[in-house]
Amino acid sequence: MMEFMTQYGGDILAGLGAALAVFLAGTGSAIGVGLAGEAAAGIVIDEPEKFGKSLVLQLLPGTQGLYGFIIGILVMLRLGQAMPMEQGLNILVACLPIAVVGLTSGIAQGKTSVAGLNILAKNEEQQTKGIIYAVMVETYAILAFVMSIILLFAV
Amino acid sequence: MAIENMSRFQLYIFDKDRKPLLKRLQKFADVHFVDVRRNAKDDDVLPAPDVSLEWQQNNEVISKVQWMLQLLEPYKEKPGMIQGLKEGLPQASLEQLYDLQESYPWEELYQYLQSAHQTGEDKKNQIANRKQEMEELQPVRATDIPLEALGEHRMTITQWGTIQSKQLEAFEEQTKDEPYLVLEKIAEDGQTLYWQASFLKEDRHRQEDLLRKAGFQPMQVQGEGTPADRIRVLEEEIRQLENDREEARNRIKSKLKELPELHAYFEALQNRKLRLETQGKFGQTAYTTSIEGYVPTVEIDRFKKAVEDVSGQAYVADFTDAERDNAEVPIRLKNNSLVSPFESLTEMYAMPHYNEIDPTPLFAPFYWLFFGMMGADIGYGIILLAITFVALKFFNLTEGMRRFVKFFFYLSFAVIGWGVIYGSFLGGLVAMPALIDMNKDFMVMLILSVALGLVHLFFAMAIKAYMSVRDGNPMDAFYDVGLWYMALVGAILWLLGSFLPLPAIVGKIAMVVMIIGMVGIVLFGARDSESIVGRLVGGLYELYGISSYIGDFVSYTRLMALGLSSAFIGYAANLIVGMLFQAGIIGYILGFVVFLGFHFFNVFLTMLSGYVHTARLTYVEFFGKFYEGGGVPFKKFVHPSKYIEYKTQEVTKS
Repeated sequence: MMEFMTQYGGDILAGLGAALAVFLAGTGSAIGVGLAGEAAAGIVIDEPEKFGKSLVLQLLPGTQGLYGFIIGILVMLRLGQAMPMEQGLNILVACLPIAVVGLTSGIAQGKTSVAGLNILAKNEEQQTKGIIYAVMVETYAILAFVMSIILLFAV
Repeated sequence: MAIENMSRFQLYIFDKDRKPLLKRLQKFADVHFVDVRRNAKDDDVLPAPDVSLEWQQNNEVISKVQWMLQLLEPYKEKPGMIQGLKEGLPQASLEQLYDLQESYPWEELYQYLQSAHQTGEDKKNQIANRKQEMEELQPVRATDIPLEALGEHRMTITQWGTIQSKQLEAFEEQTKDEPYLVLEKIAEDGQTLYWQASFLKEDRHRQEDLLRKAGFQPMQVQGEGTPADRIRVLEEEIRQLENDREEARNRIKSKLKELPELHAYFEALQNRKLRLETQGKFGQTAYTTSIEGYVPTVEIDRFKKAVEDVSGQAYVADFTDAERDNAEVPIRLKNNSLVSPFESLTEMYAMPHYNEIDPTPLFAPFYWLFFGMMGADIGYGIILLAITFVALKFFNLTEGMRRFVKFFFYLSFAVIGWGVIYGSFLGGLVAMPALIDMNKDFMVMLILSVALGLVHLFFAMAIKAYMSVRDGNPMDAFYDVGLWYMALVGAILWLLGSFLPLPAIVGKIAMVVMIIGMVGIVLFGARDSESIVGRLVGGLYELYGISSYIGDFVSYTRLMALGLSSAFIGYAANLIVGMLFQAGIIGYILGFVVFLGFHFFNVFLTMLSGYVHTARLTYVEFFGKFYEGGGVPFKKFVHPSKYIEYKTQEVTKS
């Protein structure tokens, strides 16, 4: 067992980090995009010409999944080189910011997008402001993403 | 600075000139009306001219025209997107609109379209009815019993109806003791059975009741010949009706050529509505009308000329410079063509008050710089540059669109510039020498971001100081800005002293300056307060505001974060494409698709984030230091057109 862990432990931990980043951030985005998509579908019933604009708002919570995916890829490039345990653990920790914040901010951004879609439904001229509100939430996903990148490069 | 100077006017004209003058002023356009009664007490109010009837009639016509437009629009062949952008909107002058408003035979068109539409709807309903009947007949189409057999005869009644097969036993049980009820099965369709029932007319109510209770549901069919014959007849009728419906549609379509005029007529009515609603702000006596409003000071002569065109010398006009502190003064921004595309950001936040400053030229250079830092890719910058250049050069855009595209045209240069500094081309696809390496120099980027933030914030505070001095309160500038400069600069140098090998004396001086600044803030921060205690507590609270500066500085790290995130998304895309390319010819094709899709998405995302986050730095951090806003935007006296573009030579020249 000890031998197994020393040989593969680093890769396993790093792989776990990549997996967490991809699936937690992905889940956050999926929920967010789903929420916004439901609301957008409600608008398009009566006003199909708003499809394009509603798509922008639906798309916004989708970026967290992308950030998690990129961190996952960056980790993947380092796997399979008999990584020491310590380094693997460091990589796992580096993945946590985008994993956790991706999940929470994806959901929060989804809700804000739904509110923005309300603006689109009732007062189309002001819909840019709905986009701005939703992108504000994105700030924290970006900060987490960048922190994950910095930590990853520091390992 | 760059808020256009306004003059308030009071104008008295003969009431007979009121309507022609409004038409004339609509061509002049640069006039903003205010209600003459806005400050009046209950007594001494002049009534507004009563135009409610006209207004109501006008609205009715507008809604009818809107109905016609909605009816006709779906038939219109849409030009391709590029074609449409190239052509732009058709042009019309206000004079043409006024002529149209008088002469356009809309009622004729309305009746024609309404009748065609009604016919179409009737035919549609008739078709639906026949289709339903056909559906009902379909299961029994094999029977050769003619439909004439159904209904009332001399002695008997015959009906067709359905029974669910699971109720069949109960049905037979309940009807078996009726000697004068003749039942016969005629067809079957899955679980539904079709039966024919005949009974004596004199026994009608009892028999119908019995049948219903036994689960027999009568069908509503009638006609001539067998069901198969009837279906053929119905099919023929539907064909005929479809033809009629098509013809009605063609009648509507034949009026498609009216669409451009109808659009123009719609705009004419909207402009009329604006004129009618504006009269609600006027005051009327037996023979005269009084009007108040604002015109840009440089336009006064043209305004007078416009009035003289209608009233000759029979008017009284009084112009005064707009009061600086009056909140009702309408605001129009006036900037050179390099800065004016940034005005939309000011407008989105809030127009300045007349006694404030137009912040547009002040934040524009920072906006440009920050946006570039967030985009920071030579390739993406070139894409943005190419798209906006083509749009500006070849497309006939509306004024608002043109301004928006120009905005991004300017920004694209900043994106390219920062791309060169970061050495980034399409997410690192093309290796470039970098001044700052995004893969290693995180700390340099971070420090640069915060340092730029510092400049941004200090500049904003300097504007506040300038405004205080301009308004004759130089001491305010010192208390509210100077002391803060001392506290902040002192604190920063003092803190840096513990990191960098600065001479010890620098740290000491910095500390002293900081303390003087802070004490000053406590003493003078709340100098308007009446009691000494209130003043000190208020001052301490002001000093506590220093914590918000820390938040402000941290906020500028987004300059680094957004630059990095867009670069790494691009980097990841290139990585995936590289892997795909190893998989042979299919890999090449897939890789190409992924490359385009990913980078296109990233350009969109980067520009959107850049736009929004730079706006945030402008609105929250920068404006928060000096800008209040909330002025009334200057409204041109012409309806913002949706379908046409006004020929401008008439609007601007007199």
